[in-house]
Amino acid sequence: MPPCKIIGFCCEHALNKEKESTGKDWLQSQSTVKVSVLPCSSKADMLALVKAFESGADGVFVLGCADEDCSMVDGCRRAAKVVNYTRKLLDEIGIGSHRLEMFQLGTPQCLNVEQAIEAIGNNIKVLETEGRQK
Amino acid sequence: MPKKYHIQTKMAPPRFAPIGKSTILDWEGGCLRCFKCVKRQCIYDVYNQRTFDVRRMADTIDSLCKNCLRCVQSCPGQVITKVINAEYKRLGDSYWTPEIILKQWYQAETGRIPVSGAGYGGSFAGPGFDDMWTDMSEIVRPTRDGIHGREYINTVVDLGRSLPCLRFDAAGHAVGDAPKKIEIPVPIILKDLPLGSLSEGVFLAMAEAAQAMDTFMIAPVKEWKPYLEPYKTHLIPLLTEAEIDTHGELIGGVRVIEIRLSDVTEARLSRIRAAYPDVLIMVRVRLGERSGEEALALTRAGADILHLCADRNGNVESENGSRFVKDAVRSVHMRLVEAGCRNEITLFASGGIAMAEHVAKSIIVGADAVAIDIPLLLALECRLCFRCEAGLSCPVEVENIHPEWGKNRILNLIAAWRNQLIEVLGAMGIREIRRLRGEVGRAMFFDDLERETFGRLFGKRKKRESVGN
Repeated sequence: MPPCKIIGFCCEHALNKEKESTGKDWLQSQSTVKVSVLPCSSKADMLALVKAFESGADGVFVLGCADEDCSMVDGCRRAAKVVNYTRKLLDEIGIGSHRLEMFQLGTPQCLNVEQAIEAIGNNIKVLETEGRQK
Repeated sequence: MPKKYHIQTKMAPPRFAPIGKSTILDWEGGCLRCFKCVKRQCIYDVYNQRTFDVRRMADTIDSLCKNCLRCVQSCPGQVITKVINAEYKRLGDSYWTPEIILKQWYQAETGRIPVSGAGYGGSFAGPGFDDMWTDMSEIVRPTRDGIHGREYINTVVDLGRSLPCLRFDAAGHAVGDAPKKIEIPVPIILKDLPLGSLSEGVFLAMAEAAQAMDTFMIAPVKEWKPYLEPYKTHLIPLLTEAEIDTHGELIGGVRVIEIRLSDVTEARLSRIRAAYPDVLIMVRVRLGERSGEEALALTRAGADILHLCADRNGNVESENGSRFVKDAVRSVHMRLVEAGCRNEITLFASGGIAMAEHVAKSIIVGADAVAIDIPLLLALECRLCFRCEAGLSCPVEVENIHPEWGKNRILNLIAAWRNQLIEVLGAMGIREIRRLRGEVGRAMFFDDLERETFGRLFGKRKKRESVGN
């Protein structure tokens, strides 16, 4: 099976925090995910998320900061709202909401970017296994 | 009137939507649904033109917006904000700044001089080339016919050796042959690229551009392929001393060869010259502590051209710390002047030359011409993300460019640089680039001025960190 195509919309502040904590620039060393670096995760609007799937992505994730760390004060909350709404649309059109996830770096659900990629990768695997069984 | 040298420019739009300096954050959550939305009133109509570039996964409005901030100010719900683009901030590094990269992209696309508008918000001096101020005294007296009009400013430089003096026999005839010389109409040659996803398309684009401008492109022999044969007269093969013997047929037909310095002696240079008498010999010298003495030895040994190289950020490492390329070139130039043989040889400088003004400044400190590399990559849309150095994919697929498009982009860039060079020369009242060489009297060096003015009061300034670090 070919490797799945994952697209990430990442807040630059979250990436900077990741760089500070790990001491290396994840973006410079990775080649598995296509990343769009944004000034805030709330820049990833519904059009961007849908276009990512239209371009052939198997999974899309939005990476933001924790709510209390957001440089735009409520940018992450806005991004989460957009992601939730788009997930509903993805379910309606049969793509599956689990292909789209929002991660907030520094929360227990997402301690680092690799964890986010692994989580979205697992979601895709589950969906594809279910699809084959059907 | 002889025909003027002119580089033909042609609009060459980028293949990928360029990264703008700022981006728009418009949160629809607070939208008041006004009947006359400020987005419809945009005088540049960017909100209607915006699309989503799936290759970059980004909104194209960043490169369309003119930053008038009208929409930001006028939106009653205050839902539109402009912020610095995150991708813009990640371009290049501390030497090849995002601002430099965007300006080179603009020049490569349009062939025009970038104009930043009224006022200058930056500092008056900085590290590297920014520590040098050029004389602009003649700018107050523009010529009646304009520097791009009938009044001609010459940018031709000669490559090759010159005789220290003419000698005549008893009958008054000149003794000996004049050394072979080659003229190039712009003081710029295209250097081998230090990074990038290089391909046939990239090399062809460079070779075609070099031929179109009648200048040269340096090509390492390992990159030398049959498709480069038609451009041979405008190529300089870069060889080690050992490769000269094994690549004899490659050298046949070229006008200049470049040898990497590995203790090149007079005897060895004489042997190469005897084998290839019609070829100019250029020697690549890595700038360092001893480069002044090396340059002098090579000049005396009979090299035609010296290519003084710094690293890509223009830094020259030596035992006494780091120096910038302009200071290192200046010391080599002065060493040759002191030895009385500066006019006998041609000097090229390379490394850290990022903008058109750096060409003029390199020539002022003593180089005859410059060799550029990274600006060529920038012309081909490179973002200097350095992923290629780690063996990762190029985000703008430089390897897939069409040679014709690449050639146009390079020609546009060099045409814009040459026009800026003419502007600088015109502002100095100099009509001939060869007269600019070593004209340090027409420039001021901030460090020197500061030392002379404040050094007596406050002592020696702490050493600056090397450029780009």
